[in-house]
Amino acid sequence: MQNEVMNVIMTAGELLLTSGAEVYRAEETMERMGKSLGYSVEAYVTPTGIMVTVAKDGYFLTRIRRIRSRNQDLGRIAGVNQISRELAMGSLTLEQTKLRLQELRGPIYNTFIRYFAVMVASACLTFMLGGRQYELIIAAGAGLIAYLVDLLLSRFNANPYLRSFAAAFLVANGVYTVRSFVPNISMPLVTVGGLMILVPGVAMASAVRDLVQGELLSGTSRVVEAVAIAAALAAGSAVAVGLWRL
Amino acid sequence: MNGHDLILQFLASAIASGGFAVIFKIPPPSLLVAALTGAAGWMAYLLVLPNSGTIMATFIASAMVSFVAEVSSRRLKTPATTIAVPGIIPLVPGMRVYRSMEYFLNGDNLNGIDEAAITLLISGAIAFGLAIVSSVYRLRKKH
Repeated sequence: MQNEVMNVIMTAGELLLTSGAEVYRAEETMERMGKSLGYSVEAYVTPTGIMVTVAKDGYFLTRIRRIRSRNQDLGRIAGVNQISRELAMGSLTLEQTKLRLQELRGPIYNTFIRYFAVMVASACLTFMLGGRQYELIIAAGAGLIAYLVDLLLSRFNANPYLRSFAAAFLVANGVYTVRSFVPNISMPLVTVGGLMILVPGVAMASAVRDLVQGELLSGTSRVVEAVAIAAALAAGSAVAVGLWRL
Repeated sequence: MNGHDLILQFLASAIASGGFAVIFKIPPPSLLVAALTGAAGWMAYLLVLPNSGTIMATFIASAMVSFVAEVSSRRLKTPATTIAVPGIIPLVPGMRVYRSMEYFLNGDNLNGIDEAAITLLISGAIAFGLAIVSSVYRLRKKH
């Protein structure tokens, strides 16, 4: 029984952390879920691992789980939050909780909708920066390329820095290529609009909220992660721009 | 900036934030709220910008996004982050990073560092806007 509770709590914590949630949220959720199930739980979470003890009647069970990859998936964070809330209200059993957590692993938007969102968002950001007409269409294409490269490389287990670098490099090259046919487009507007979809927004927001909570270790390491990804994006486009000037 | 432009900017920022909400896989009930939050932040940015400059405008806008996110997330019973993250996307200084990169590439280090420093300050303004409002909300919750 204690093992079952441990499994459920660990799954919830892992889902939160791999989706980019704040560390304090993972700790609080695990402790609250344990309490709802009648166990006292102590969790210590960092962005790269979870340590948790589940205790009842003097019996202690402790487990460590390493977290090696993080995505940006706010839907899962909201989902785990909802499940933990329902568990606290007593409307879920242990078995149901397990099933609901399993269901969260599936995607909520199909591929077509996501590609469409990427293209529209890129075009809108370019418009807000001052881009017009053809630039918007090219930015939409650039955004799609960036997204597809990121997706493809993550299938091969590439780390976020390589993914961002490769996406930025290919997008900038693509924009240069298009510009040799359509000369009047602004290179920066289109490239930036297309690359914005790779901005580590979730990592940045989680870092801030963790720092505010006093989670200094996790907060600073997430800031470093976000800055490194932004630097990889800049470096990727810099290499492309440099090459085209040769 | 005239009224016509302002409406276009409102729509563009709402759609951009909504698009990012889909990219970050936010479930449908929060999508519209996330889009409107982004638009509210961007409107605050555009209104403050002419008088106070980029950094102040970004701070106010980010605080605005955080405020709307805190209020609406309680209604929707979802973490505030889910609404705040797509909302701050229009404020992210992507263009300045690019320009800074270009200056460095041209060997113009002085302008490159200048642009990079402003980027850093803008990022700080986004972070502080988020941090301060969510801290205030934490106060109210505990007492």
